[in-house]
Amino acid sequence: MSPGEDGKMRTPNVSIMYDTLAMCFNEAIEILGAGIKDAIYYHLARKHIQKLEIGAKFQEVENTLAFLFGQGAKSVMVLTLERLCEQYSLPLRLEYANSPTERLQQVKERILIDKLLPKHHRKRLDSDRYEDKLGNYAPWSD
Amino acid sequence: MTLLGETNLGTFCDTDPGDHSVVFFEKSEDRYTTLFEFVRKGLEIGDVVVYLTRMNEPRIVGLMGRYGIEARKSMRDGRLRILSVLFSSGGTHNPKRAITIGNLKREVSMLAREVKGRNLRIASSLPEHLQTENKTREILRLERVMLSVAGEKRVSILCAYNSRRLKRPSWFRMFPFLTTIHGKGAFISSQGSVVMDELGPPRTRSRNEHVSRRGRENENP
Repeated sequence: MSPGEDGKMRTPNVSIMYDTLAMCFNEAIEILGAGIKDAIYYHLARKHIQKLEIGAKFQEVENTLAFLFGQGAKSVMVLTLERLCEQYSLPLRLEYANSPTERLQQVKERILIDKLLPKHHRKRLDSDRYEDKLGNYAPWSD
Repeated sequence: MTLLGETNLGTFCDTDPGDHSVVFFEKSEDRYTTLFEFVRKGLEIGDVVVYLTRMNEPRIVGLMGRYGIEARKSMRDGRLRILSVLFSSGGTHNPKRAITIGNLKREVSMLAREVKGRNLRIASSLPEHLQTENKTREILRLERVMLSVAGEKRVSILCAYNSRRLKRPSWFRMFPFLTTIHGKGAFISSQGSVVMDELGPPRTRSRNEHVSRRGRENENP
């Protein structure tokens, strides 16, 4: 069965990944505190980065974090990466790269090449299939 | 980067002379846990500790007692001083006796001279009080004073901010200054906590230069 046969197009992996990255970033900055999270989003908005664009414009997000935390921005990057790896069941393995940014790039490539889907997305698809009584194939497979 | 827990809270509070650290907290217990741990550690290793506050001395002494600090004894030994800034210790306004942000540097410099050979620690809950009164400019002044004190003397400083009070654009605009002026930061919230060992740009120039490079337009966000 091809993905488009039932009339529904599956969301492209890249946009799922960007959504997941934005979600992981949100979770990571939540640890810093609600006020600080608001301050970060305020500065992102000043750089014309909306919440939904965080995944797609992650390089600019990093620059904004560096402006806010200096070298401490790495911590937020690592926390985001940690959550992203958890979502895709990938090892964090920061030692595989020279910087968290480089590791994030590696993880992103791996996600796209291996067509991986995040846990939160699989859970949603699973429950949709269950409710539609169409759970006869793994929803994340091609 | 480390996640802050009970075990490494001590490590965060284990500062070297010249350190200028910050803690952003959400709950008042976290403020006292961190600041008083900083005070306790200082007293333990023989540093002279100054606690900057706007509350009156007996109240702080009582609070310290709850956290296992024998404040009265340390004050008698001359190892702990509680300075009520902006108002005199009696609570009534007395400009002649008051320690203000303007004369705080002189006050701390005098203290630093008095404690020759020993390190001085400053735990400051003043920023939170200034946050409450929405005095952004006063905070900028205070932080600059703290930074110059940390740069010149054998002083380590811990400032405490309430992250819940960062809720207006004026505070958001000031936020990069509040973080990057400090060398190390702890962020404590209900979701968890994080320690950033290096805030600010890479140390290629002195901290005082870092301040002077900020233009006049950045002074009043």
